[in-house]
Parts: sequence; structure tokens; C-alpha cells
Amino acid sequence: MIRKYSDVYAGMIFLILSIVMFSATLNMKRLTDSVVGSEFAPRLVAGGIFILSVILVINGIKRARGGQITEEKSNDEFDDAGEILGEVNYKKVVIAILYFTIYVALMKPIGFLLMTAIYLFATMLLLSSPTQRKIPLFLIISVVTSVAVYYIFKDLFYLILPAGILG
Amino acid sequence: MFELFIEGLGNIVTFKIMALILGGTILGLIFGSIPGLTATMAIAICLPLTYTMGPIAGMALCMGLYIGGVSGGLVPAILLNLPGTPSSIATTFDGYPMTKNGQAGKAFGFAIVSSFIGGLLSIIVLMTISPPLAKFALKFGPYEYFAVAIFALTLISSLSDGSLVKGLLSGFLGLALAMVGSAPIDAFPRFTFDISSLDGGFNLLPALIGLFAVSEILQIAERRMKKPKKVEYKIKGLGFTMKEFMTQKWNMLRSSLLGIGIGILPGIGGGTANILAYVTAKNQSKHPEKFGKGIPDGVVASESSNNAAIGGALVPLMSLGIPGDTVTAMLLGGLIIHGLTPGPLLFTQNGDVVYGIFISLIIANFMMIFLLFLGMRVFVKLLSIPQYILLPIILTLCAVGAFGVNNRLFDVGSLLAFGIIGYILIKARFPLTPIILGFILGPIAETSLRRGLMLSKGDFTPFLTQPIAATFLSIAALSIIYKVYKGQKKKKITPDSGTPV
Repeated sequence: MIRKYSDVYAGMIFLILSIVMFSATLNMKRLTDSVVGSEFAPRLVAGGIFILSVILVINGIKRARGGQITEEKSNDEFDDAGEILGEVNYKKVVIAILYFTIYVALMKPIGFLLMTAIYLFATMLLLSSPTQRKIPLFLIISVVTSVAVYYIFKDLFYLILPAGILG
Repeated sequence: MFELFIEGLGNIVTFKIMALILGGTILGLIFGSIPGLTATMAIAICLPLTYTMGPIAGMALCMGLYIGGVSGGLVPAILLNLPGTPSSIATTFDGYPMTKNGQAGKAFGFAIVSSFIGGLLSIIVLMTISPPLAKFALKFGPYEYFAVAIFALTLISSLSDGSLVKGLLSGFLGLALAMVGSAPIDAFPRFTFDISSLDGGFNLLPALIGLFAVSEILQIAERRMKKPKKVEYKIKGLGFTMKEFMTQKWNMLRSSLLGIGIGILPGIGGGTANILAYVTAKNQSKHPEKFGKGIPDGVVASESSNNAAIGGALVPLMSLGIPGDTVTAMLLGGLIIHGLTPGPLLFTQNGDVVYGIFISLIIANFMMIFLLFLGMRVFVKLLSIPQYILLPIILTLCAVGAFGVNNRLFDVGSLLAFGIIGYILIKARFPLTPIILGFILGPIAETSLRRGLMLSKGDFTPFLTQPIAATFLSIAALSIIYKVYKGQKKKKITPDSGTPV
């Protein structure tokens, strides 16, 4: 169902985006004495997005109503045809995103070393199927990678990553 | 010039410098072949290492990193459908289908040789043309830059194969995202919603990596991870026959020239070149429908142009001090650190550094082709690690890369945000590349527009009447008219298909 109306939803999101964009430009002050100020280009872009999203919504409705779910000529850029193993598991993606978010959020307080090891381990568990799970291997890889990256970047490349609790 | 060349050779062919070039190329290849790590990152990370070296040594290392970093991207692009760097995005379009067809060896052969030839051609151009070209580009003012940016932005329409509307929306989204932060000219904070981290806007690198690598990784995460099957990448000799090679000669030449030209344009480099070359090759081909299904032309176009962009991007850097792409932006900093000012003076006062750079490039190019052909096993081994192990590690390295740009976690956050945006857009069947084009070209267009208006005191006409600007704008207008015309023709032929423009 979502698939069928995806263009409509997308169009509406872009529509809202363009309205938000435009209203944000209303506060923009002219700091220079010139024909156009900093609000000019954003308004052009917001207007463009508005027009385009209206077209998209209209076309989306037309197509969904028309009954033909004619797939657009797929652009290989995003068409992963061929290797469909089982159904798409969106839950996994959401959890993967969640893990990464927690990882980033806690990196500063807890530190790169610990969080990276935890994150790697958790995500490896998440992404592998039960038969592929090798807990000891994952543990070792998580810890070794985390330590290796931390020290290589610190001592070889002089990039200091957040130390957190340990530092 | 000849004496300088010989002198340069004398400087470079020492054990220490050759080792630096070799090390740089290897490291660059590693960075390039791991998605999420880029040549820009490699150089950014290694620049501090060059402080204690002389300028020639430092630049030699950087040239190795540059060539390795750009070339390495082809490995995962062909084998895993993951571009190793933004310069190899278009390589995935046909490289991966070729792998699926069991032709990975041929894809590699073509990609590596195209990279080498594209690089070599661009170095020759760099060496012979940079002085007079610098003089010409000096004439480019805001009107010309605006026209060039608009011209490049209209090419978005040819990128959006399926839906013109979606392609344009992606492009506009890129424009909008680029407008977050300080406005050009007057630095007025735009779209920051009082969040101080947004004052600087979104950094290009996290945006790029998030949009292309993270989103792709999320897509892979959808499905069950399988053990990567033994990909047939046996390369017999070069992987392709001489006859096949000869059919590609015009493609290679044209794509290299395109890459050189795009590299020369400041701010636009390999990341844009490979896509534009691919699209051009497709448009110029007698059988465009084969593109995307595994045709060597696609790989050749992408890989020759991205390496050609290297030499091209160095032209404005060396002759004007204007970076041709993100990597050369780093190199600019590197040269300044060593007390050198890139520009016409560099040629006259520090010819040894200039020719040191040229020769390091040539040597690195040769090293690249040897390393890739002989050491392919090593780089591929890197990729035979199971995806469920490799991907989290890659994500971590992406996070480190994003963090390393400016030492702030905000960039890692934007990495994630762009990744999610990219993922959702992929699902909604929007093309992603126009976003990046809009993101990069938007500021250039807007800055040039406003500067131009300030120069002309509010008059819009110079934008249309200045000869160089007018040329680019008319080509842009013509390309749009042509695209719409082609679209109308298609609609007339298939009146019952429900697909809109």
C-alpha cells in the first residue's frame, strides 16, 4: 500500500519541507545593500521544491488511481535486483540505525574504545543470522578492531578520538 | 622546461622519495578500496606526517595517496556494488553487473587500465597546458562561474533517467541542504534554528559518505547476510583482449578529456566526473540500453574520467591556488604549511617542487597499475570478509572519518542523518547523485550570482552577455530543451503507458 502511494507521500513530505523552508526565510535580514540578499536563493529553491512536489503528488495520485503499477525505468543506482534472499527486514534496519545512534550519542561520555567495541559486537550479532553467529570470534574482532583503530589513529595519524570513561 | 624535468627526476628518484610514493600509493589504495574511507581522508590524515619532511617529499607522499585513493575505489565498486570512494560511484553501475555476469576479471582489467590511461593523459595535459590554462581561467569572474554552475546543474536532468521530477527534486534537495549555515557574502546564519552546530552548515564529507555509503550499508542490512560467494576475478593477463580494448579507445579518450575538464573546474572533481562521463558515454553510445547491465563502456568511462580528474584538479591548484576538488583543497593547505604559495609564482620560484609533483604523479600512476594487477588478491581478500563483520567495521571507520574532518561529533551525527535520508530516498526511488551535485554546486552558483550582482550593481544582463558565461548558459538551456523534447517524443511513442515525465 505504501509502495503504491509512495510518490504521493514523498511529494507531500517535500511539500511540507518547501513550506518550512520558505517560512524560515521570512526571518532573513538583508545585511548587504544589494539587489538580492541571503533570502533570495533559498526562496527560489523552496519555490522550486514546492512546484516539483505538487507535480509529484498529482502524478503519484494519477498513477496509483490508474491502476497500472508501471514501474519506472529503474535506475541501477538504486536497484539491487537479483539477490532477493527472503523478504526485506525493515526491523533490522531500524535497529541497526538505533544502535548507531546510541553509539554516536554515547561516544563522548563513555569513550570511543568501549562504545566501538560494544557497537561492533551488537551490530555483528544483529546482522548475522543465528547459524553465522560465532560469539567468541565477534568478541575478539570487536575488541581488537576497536583498540587497533583507536591507537592507529591516535599514534600514527594524530587523530584523538574521545576517551570517555577511560581517559 | 626540459631541464626542470631532468632536475625533478634527480630529486625524486631517491630511495626515500620512491619509498614514500610507494607507501602512499599502497595506503591510498587501501583507503580507496574500503568504502567509507576516501582519498581526501587519507591525505587529511597524512598531512601532519609531512610537516617534518621537505615539501617535495611531502607532496610525493600525497600524490601516491591521491592516485591510490581514487583508483582503489574500483575494487569494491566492481565486487560489492559499494563505491570505495565517490569517484567510483558510476563504476558500480556496470562494474557490479559485470561481476554478477561472471566477468569481474574483465571489469577489473578495463577499470585498472582505464584508470592508468586516464591518469597518464591528465598528467601530460597538466604538464603541458597548465601555464596557458591558468592565464585563461584568470578571466573567469562571477558571471562565468555562475553560468558554469548552472550548466552543470542542468545536467542533473540527464542523470534522472526514470523520473525527471524526482531527479530535479533530489537536486533541489541538495541545494537546500547546502544552504544550511552561513550564507555566502554576508554570512547570515540560515536554517540554523538556533542550533549552534549548524552555523557552519553540513560538511561535504559526512554528507557524501552518509548519502552513499551508509545508505547502501543500510540497504544491505535489510536482507539476510550471506557469505560472499567466491567471486570469479581471475585475471588472465589484462582480462580483456586487444580487440575489446580498441573498441573502447574513443570512450577512454573522451571520458579522460571530460575528466580533465571537470577536474580543472574548481570545486568539481572525480566525484562528479565519473558520473558525467558515464552519462555522456551512455548518451553517445549506439546501444544505451546495455548500460547498467554490465557493459565495459560504463566502467571505462567512469574509471578513466575519475583518474583524469586528478591531473585536471591539480591544474587550477598549481597555477591559480584554487583547489580543483576536496583533495586538492587539502593539498593547498599542505603547500602553505611548507611555506609555498601555489599560483603562477610557484612555477617561477619553486619549479623543483612543481616538477617534483609532476614526476611523483607519473611514478605513482605506474605503481598503481602494478599494485592493482599484482596485488589484487590482497585487496579482494579485504573484501571477502563476511559482510556482517565488514559492514559494522566500515560504519565505525566512516564515523571516525566523519569525526576526523573537524573533530566534532556533530559531523558523525550528520553522517547518520544523511545516511537515513539517503536510505529513505532510495526506497522511494529517488536518485541520489543529483543531491550531491546540488550540494556542491549550489553554493558556487549562489555566491557567484550575488558577487556578480554586486559587481554589476544590480544588473542581471552581464550574466547573459559576457561571452564565456553566455556560452555556458546557452548550452545549459539547449540541454534542457533537448531533454524535454526527447521526453515528449517518448511519450508520443507510448501513449498508453502511465508513466509521467
